[in-house]
Amino acid sequence: MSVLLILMLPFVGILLPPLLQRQGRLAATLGAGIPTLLAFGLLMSLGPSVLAGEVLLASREWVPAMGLTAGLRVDGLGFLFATMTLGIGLLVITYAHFYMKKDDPLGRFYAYLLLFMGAMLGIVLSENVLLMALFWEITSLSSFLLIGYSSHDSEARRGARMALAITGLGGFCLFAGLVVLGQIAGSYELSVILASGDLITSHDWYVPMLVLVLLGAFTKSAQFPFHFWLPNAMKAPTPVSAYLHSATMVKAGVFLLARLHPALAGTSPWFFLVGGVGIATMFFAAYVAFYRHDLKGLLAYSTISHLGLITALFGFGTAGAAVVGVFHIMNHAAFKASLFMTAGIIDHQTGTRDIRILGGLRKAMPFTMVLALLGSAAMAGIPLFNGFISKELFLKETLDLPLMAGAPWVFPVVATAGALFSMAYSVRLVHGVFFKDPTEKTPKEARDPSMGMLVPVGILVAICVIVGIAAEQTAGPLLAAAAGSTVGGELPYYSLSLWHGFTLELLMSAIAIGGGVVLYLQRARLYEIADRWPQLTGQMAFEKVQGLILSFAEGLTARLENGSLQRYIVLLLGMALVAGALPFLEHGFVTGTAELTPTNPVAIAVWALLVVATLATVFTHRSRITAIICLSVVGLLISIIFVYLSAPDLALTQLSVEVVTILLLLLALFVLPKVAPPESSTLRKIRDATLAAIGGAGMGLISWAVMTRPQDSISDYYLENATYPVGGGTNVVNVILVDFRGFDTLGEVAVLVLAAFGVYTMLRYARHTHVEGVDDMASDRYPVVLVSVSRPLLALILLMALYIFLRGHYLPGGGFIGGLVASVALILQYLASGIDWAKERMGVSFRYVAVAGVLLATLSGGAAFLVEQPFLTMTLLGLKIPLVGEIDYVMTLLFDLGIFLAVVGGTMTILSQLSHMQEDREPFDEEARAKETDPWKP
Amino acid sequence: MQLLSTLTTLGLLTPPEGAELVALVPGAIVTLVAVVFILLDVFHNKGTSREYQAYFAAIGLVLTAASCWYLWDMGLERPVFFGMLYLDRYSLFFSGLACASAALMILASPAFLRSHQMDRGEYYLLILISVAGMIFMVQAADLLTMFIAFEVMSIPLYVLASFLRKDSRSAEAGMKYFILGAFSAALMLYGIALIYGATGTTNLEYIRENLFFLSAAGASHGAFGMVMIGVLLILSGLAFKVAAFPFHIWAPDVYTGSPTPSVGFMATAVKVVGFATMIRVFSVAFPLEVLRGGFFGWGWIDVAFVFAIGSMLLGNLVAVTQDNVKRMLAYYGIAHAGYLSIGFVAANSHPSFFLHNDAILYSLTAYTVALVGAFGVLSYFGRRGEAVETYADLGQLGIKYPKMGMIMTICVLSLAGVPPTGGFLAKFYIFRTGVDVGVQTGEMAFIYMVIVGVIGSVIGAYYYLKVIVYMYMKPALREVRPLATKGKLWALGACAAATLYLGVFPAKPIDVCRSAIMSMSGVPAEVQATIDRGQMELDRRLQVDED
Repeated sequence: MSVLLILMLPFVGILLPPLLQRQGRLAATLGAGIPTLLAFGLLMSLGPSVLAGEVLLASREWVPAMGLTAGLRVDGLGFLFATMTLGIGLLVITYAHFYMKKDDPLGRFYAYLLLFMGAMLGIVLSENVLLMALFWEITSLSSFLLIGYSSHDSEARRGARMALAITGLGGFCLFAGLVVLGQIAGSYELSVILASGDLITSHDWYVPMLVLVLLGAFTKSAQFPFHFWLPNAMKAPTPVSAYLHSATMVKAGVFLLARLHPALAGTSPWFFLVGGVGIATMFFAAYVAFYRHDLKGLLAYSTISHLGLITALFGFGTAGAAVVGVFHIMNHAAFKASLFMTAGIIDHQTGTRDIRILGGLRKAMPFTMVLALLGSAAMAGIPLFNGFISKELFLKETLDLPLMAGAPWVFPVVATAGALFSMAYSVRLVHGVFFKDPTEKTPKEARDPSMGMLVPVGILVAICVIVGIAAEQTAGPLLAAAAGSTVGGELPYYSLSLWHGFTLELLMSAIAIGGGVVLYLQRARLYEIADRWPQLTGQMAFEKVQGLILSFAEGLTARLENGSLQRYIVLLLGMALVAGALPFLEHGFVTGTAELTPTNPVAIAVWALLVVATLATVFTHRSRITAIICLSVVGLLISIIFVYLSAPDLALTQLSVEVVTILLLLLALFVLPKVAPPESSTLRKIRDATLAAIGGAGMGLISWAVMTRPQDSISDYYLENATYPVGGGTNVVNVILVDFRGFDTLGEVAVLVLAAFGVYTMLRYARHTHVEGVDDMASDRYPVVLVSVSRPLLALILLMALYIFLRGHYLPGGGFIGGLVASVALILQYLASGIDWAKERMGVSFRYVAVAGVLLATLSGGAAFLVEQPFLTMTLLGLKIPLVGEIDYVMTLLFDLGIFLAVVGGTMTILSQLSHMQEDREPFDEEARAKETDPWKP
Repeated sequence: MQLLSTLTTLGLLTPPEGAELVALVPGAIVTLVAVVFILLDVFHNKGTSREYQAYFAAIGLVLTAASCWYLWDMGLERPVFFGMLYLDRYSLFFSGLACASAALMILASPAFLRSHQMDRGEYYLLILISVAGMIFMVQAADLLTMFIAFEVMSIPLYVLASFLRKDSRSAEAGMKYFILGAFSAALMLYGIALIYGATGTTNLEYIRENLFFLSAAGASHGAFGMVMIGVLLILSGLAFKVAAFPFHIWAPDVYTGSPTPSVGFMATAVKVVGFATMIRVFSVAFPLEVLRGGFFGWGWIDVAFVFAIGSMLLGNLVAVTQDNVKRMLAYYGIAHAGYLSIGFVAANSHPSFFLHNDAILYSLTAYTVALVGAFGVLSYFGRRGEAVETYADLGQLGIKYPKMGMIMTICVLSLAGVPPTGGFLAKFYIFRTGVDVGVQTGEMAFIYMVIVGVIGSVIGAYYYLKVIVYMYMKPALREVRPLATKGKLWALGACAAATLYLGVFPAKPIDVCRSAIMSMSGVPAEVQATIDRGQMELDRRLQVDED
């Protein structure tokens, strides 16, 4: 329980500083400090049992479906890191109170800091690896907020974004790696994972998993080639650098290596990846650090170098090396945090961090000088300081690597060279700032800062010295406990004593220290050489990649999303064609086995004509009238084909629908400009034609395949039952329409009428605005020939419609076709004689006709209820009409009449509205108006 | 006779009973609310605020969602109305989610519409009708029901897109959405026709039976070519609606032009329903191995694989370059369709992984609340009929309006997949599904998808953090004012709270998702076996918990 409380305290504490900041800076600091102190105290209370080698576990179910438990674990390693996180956290909170500007309210700063602290604690105390990855992400995020704290500084924002991009990327990789790890081990619990090392290392997926996990660790711990975010993150306020970038966050990477050491280490991929990257980073970063002029930049590279050293130690994979690794983690945290704080003090007191400007501060800042001197000595690995012991042990480990038996000198030489540069930049730090003569005046008058800033540094430096002199007595128990959980078994023999006798590693140390001093003395010449070297860093690569991604994305956007609907349709159609083509590629094209029906030359001629008419429509589409005429030819040919294929009903319907459609199109022409819009380019036309051809060919192929398959259809059933005695008619189509699927028909007419009303409401008040290019109307609006022919035709066509309607049940015809034919007769009057003339004589509104039709159809269907039959049962009721013949099914006829009326009403409502629009468009003109009301007047 | 018995077992011949009417309840409530709404609008007192209409519509939707909750344990075994509609937890889950999205976005609308001088009742009516379509779409047991519901859902959306008709961008959005949408619907209908041609039916389960029969009767490999085209065309039509690559092309323009609150609705509810239908249709009707395919036998799994990879790459990459937040969110929507497709591919690649579909359900939930919140915040601010749209418009908003800033931050973090929000767990759940299936099958393609997803998420984090950076760190370029109503603040607060809830206490919501996916009716026998196994495991776990 207390473990959970330790973890929760910083998160709960987040609220305090922002709330307390109104009470003043001190209140905010206390608000951040007290939860930390409490957590630290609680942690210390766990100390005895943990140091005795116990592993404290606290677990609660969280998301069982995802294998997530809220499991916490305090073992030696976790305890060490938690101590560092909270302890140094406390010091940093104190330090920040004095360091940050006086007018900075600090609330937000401490809130971010506590968020980070909580997340860091979460990483080191998690039992569940996924939980750990979750906290890992939060550290990336909170570090982003902390680095970008001085948000007005664009450099800071850039550094923050880069840090987040790199560590975030690594975090996601880690996440993926841990998921795979959990899958291999069968559990996400550390206890299980750590115990199944052999299973994991021998698994097929070991290497990919390892790479993913290491990407996470390397990015977080700023290992080459991902190191460059750390120097850029130095834009953060110095307390942040001291905390995140020396002691805690960057240590999360090496913590991970230590944590998973028992499960993953000891293989040759592990050795070469981890050890190789570590040693390379150590040397490379030490070399670069020597050339940095910015104090914090120097320290940043030095941090990278030391992290490389630790990484290398874990990479060696032996128990002994792991112990040293853990030891160096402790030491490095102490001296590096102290040095960062010292750098902050110097910056705070002098206004600059540039070593070239600084100098001779030993007189002005004696206390600072002492602290910096001691801290640097620890960093350089001078005897009597903690850094010395761990470095000695490290050098010793490099000498005995079984996997490097082929070239045993490589690691020791690189390590010594790294240590040499390490010495050199430490000397530079101390000498450059405090001893050499100043070159310029510093922006501020230098003097020692208040005790509040010096005390935290002092505490850390004291630790360095005490551990350096008496390591075994002070750090021994903690190290033993922490190393115990890293090694995961019996601890090997190791000695933390200062003096091991005259050994090879002592010689290497001596070379490093001596060489470092010599190197520093020769620095002027070295800088000259370095300046001539081309600059190629990971950062440039990162920025290059970033730029490439951006420009690629911009190119992609410009190419795809140009806002053109045509382009979109082309893409959409193209993709649909791909989707349609895939199955052909996959399954091949197979035609059916059905026998082909014979054909004759006439039919072929009709089809050829159809193709020609279609092509003509396409090619004449610019002149609209011609195109419509061609289109009507297509429609007529289709009705002829229906006739040929023995479907007279369909042919009739097609014919009447065709006429009505063409009328509709002609009416629509009134509102379109005469001149068609500009043609597309030839290239585009070819593109469109190609797509159309492919699409059409594909549809044709599919139709062919479908129609050549032997197929049973429901039509036989209807042919058998539609006629007597069930359906009571001889025209199957009509019987299906009014009887078998009467309900569908009723629905369809209702929709037609609804649509008509929709058109009516929308166009009723529509006043057509003037369209460019429609001013040349024919002078004679109502041609006399058309007018005089249309009058007698009206009666004839109406009679024809009635006839078609009545005979529908037995011969091709019916309400639907009859209705359409009647509509044609009526609309002809509108066209020929003008809407007002026609309206005057019509006497009835077509909207009512439409409604009456639907009502009649519904009622005739509902009549069945009277004799307790289901809706639309067409009850028998015979009737004999002269000339037409016997009609057995009067109810059916009534239903069909309803359809007839609905179709007439609906169609006429739509068409008359369209022609109405055309009327209203006319400018008011007395003469024209007079002409309109009486077309016979000359 | 054989035919007759099949039809009977599938419930196609069972006449509707009174009890079946229960399947209509959620859809009927919305429809009824819509009809009453028309009356309400007729009697509206001209010149007064229409805010009460928004509340009316929202309450209606909440009632619908409540009815889904009420019906949770009353699912029906068989499809009703001659095999037209299912009523199972699966459909109720998605109906509820669609209602929630619509209700939240409706609450965010009145002030926005007023400031754009388009305070019309039709706006709410269109949303209500669209929701009715969505509810029937997730219930559909027949391709025709599905298609009709699909159109009922889509057509109001075309109108919504062009609702700000005085704004040319909005008109353009409506036009593009309509034409491209009609086009994709036509493709889908063609696909349905082909399926009907091959199997003689449009009923999902009957299609499956017939396809099994065809393949058992030794139909040649090639005979499935036509079915396959139909399947892929249906998939394309649905992919269009969820804005998956390469059918995403409409999304950015439409999202940018449409009124912001309605985009929140379109971007979430439509995607939710689209994926729901996708899972249902493909796992019920087309589980046949030949059609399913899988790396790279070019079945629907492979095509969905292409959707996943393409959407994640394109969506995330292009989102980076956007200056307009709405447009960025549109591209994120595309990317998110990709993430969901990972789940779709992994969970449906084999019947034994079927239960992994719950990751999609969870992810859709998290995505919906977060995106609704984000669009809500965007529509919260405005000035003289101009909406807040670009990053620069967001300058300092977080500091000037701390509540809104907090809500936006939470929602955006969730969309970026940062803990401790729902979006993080959702993404994790999806990726874990991919890895899980990958490890179990040893198929690297699953892992590649996840890797692309991970890279995409990193890029995603980049452009989402840009929102936060602008809100808190960049200076304000122009003055914007809140268009506040109390209802909206509550709605947005609810989104943020739900986002956090999903991230911190996900166990319960995941159980709901799981039980929704386990209730899916009409699944083939292999899947049913997986479901039963899952049920047994669940029972055992509950048993252990009790002990």
